[in-house]
Amino acid sequence: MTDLTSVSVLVLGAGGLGCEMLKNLALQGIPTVHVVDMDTIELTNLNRQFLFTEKDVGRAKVEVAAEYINSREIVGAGGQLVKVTPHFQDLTLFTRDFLAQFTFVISGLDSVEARRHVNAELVKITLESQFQKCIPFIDGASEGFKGHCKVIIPGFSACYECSLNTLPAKTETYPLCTVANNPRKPEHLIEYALMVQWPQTFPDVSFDYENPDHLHWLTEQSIDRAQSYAIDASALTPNFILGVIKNIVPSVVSTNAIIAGQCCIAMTRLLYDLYDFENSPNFSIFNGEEGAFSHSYLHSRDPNCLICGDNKQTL
Amino acid sequence: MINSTTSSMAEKFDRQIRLWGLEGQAILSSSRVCIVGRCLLSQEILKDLKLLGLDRITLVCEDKSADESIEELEKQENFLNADGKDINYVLWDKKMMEEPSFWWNFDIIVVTALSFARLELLDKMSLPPMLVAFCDEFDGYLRFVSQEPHFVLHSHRQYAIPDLRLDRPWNDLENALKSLAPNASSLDTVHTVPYAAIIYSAVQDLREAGTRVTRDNIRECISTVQVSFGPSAAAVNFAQAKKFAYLGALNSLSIPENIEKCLSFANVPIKLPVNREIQALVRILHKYLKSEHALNQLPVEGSIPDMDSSTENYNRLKSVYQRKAAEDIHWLEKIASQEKLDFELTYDVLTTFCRNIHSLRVMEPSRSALTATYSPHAAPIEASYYEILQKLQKKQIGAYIPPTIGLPAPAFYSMMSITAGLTVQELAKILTHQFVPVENTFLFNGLTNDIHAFKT
Repeated sequence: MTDLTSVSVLVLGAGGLGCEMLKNLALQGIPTVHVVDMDTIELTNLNRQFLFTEKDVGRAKVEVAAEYINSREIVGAGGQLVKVTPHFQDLTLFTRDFLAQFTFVISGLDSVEARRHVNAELVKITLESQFQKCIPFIDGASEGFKGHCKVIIPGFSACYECSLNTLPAKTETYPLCTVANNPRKPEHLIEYALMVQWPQTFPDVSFDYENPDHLHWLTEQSIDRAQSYAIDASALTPNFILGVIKNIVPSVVSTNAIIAGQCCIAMTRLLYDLYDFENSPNFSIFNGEEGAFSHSYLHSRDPNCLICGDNKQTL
Repeated sequence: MINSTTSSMAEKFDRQIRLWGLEGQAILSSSRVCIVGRCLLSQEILKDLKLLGLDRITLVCEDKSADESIEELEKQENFLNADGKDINYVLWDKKMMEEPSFWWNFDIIVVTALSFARLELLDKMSLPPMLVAFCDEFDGYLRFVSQEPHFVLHSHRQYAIPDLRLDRPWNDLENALKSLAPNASSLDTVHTVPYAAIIYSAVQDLREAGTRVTRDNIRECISTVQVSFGPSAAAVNFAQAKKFAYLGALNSLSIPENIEKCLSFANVPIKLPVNREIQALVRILHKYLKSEHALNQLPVEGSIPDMDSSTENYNRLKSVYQRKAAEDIHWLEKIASQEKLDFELTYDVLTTFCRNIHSLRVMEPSRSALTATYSPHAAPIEASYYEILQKLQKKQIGAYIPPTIGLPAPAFYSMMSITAGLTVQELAKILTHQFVPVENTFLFNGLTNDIHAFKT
């Protein structure tokens, strides 16, 4: 039987997925859990991040998450209490030695760059140890009713970098001539106010969407221009404007619970030797918009991958 | 003016309001849910429901809990639902539970672990919609049970076909399209023409020449016009016109299959208020289609996609569609006023109905929580799936099934999280009548992350 007493897991991100992952790991009895995140708690997190309450708004997510779990004194594997160690920092500053102490890394991040960094470090750990040490990297992501779970066995199966092409292109952009001369949608007005009007009016100030004055100015400019172009300004509410400029994606607890659960159950399979490194379907996608669809498939390694491919030494 | 409590609620739920709108959130916040069965899965479901903003939750417990040990359960309850004080716990009471009136206090019932006799009792009564969910080892299942069809008012189809009616434009639209059409005598403004007018003009040319109006022919026709116009037509709007050429080849007299199906459910008996409201709309739609105003065409949705063009031309076209949509809603309202309804159809509901009419759906939930057999009309499920479903249903009613994978129970904890997430996701879709729920049973496998759905 697999011994869990020495298992340790690093959770990347203490947001919607992170909270669910931490809960699953704790209730599964994983004794050593670390969590890293540099965000503080906002009111809009509370529809899905159940380790936080209204009185925690403004505090570091990792601190509150660790306090919540540690205070419950959950008895984990081998009778040890489950202990969560918080890291309120930028995860790209972790040293490779630090990462090397973990059995698994599970991520629920919203940043592609942070994932790429961790992926590259974990692949290096495998390669530098000449395949003696391999830390599986399980990556979850969610947006609205959709999500994915990727199981990466660095050096053995497709790494995060091998699958960069599965990610959607960055946010929608509008041609400048449209937003400048022929605006038709409220988004065009917001884009123009942000990209053209703001730098013209305040050349020395960069736009800060946390600043209510900035947001107010942007709203007024957009509404003004809506009127001169006879565009319906009723859509230009603060929430709509924030959604456009911050590219806010919808997020709900149900999808997060499903994806975080898929990531943790993948860890269980790895722990209990129910996973074939090279042949098990490693990536899964979920979509709950129409019924519930979930499917896994085998994503092959990219032989030209800059991180784990055959040409990596030449770089 | 919204008060500060509403706006702070709106902010707290902002990320999910972006899925189902304030109206969806209002429904969820006021919904009454009954969870039947006290087990790890129930506690996960409870936690998720509270996060969604539901706070009128009743949990019916049996005198003895499911196979999980009480310490395990209490540990998890303390972890997930520490402030359980707002939950109404009710112990199973034979007399009370035999009365359908007890269950009709709720908008939806979620059944987890429950003894066979009690599940059978529920199955025999005509109750509000039920979700029956359970998981064991790496398998989980969910079933949507209801005695009536379930209508979806707004299915949020992601890649909807724009409703432009280029095959049969009404007079106002025809005039607008004709006057906007690209014209060799005003080459300097050719780039300001919205693609709908370019496509329509190609459709006209084909008709005049007696050529069949197909996507390829429209494309070819647009290319010829483009070449004849020279460099001034090398603009984005022409590229868009070619890309969306199929919009000129649609037939707006043909009623989509999903709507035909809704029409066929127009007169079946229905009890639930929102379903009745949508069903009434479907009956009104049926009369509308036959009216001389509609001439067998669906009401116009009214919104149009962005088209590369001048603001002025785009606004002009947009207002033509908006005017027609308003007119169509007005006709529906007129028909509605002649119907003898014991409830009021609001203008908002009518508008939502018309704006999303092409993706209107009706689903057939399972009639029974218990059966593991499949209906002869549905695609047969593979024998192995049938066995898994039977195993789960037996476990759910407390029968002993020897474990197939020798792992300690906590190893499967994440299956609770997944199954609860799947359950709550369907619950939100059913209560809001937005997004399409499962029709009507699915199995989830944690070893492969695959979902297999089938209809019973």
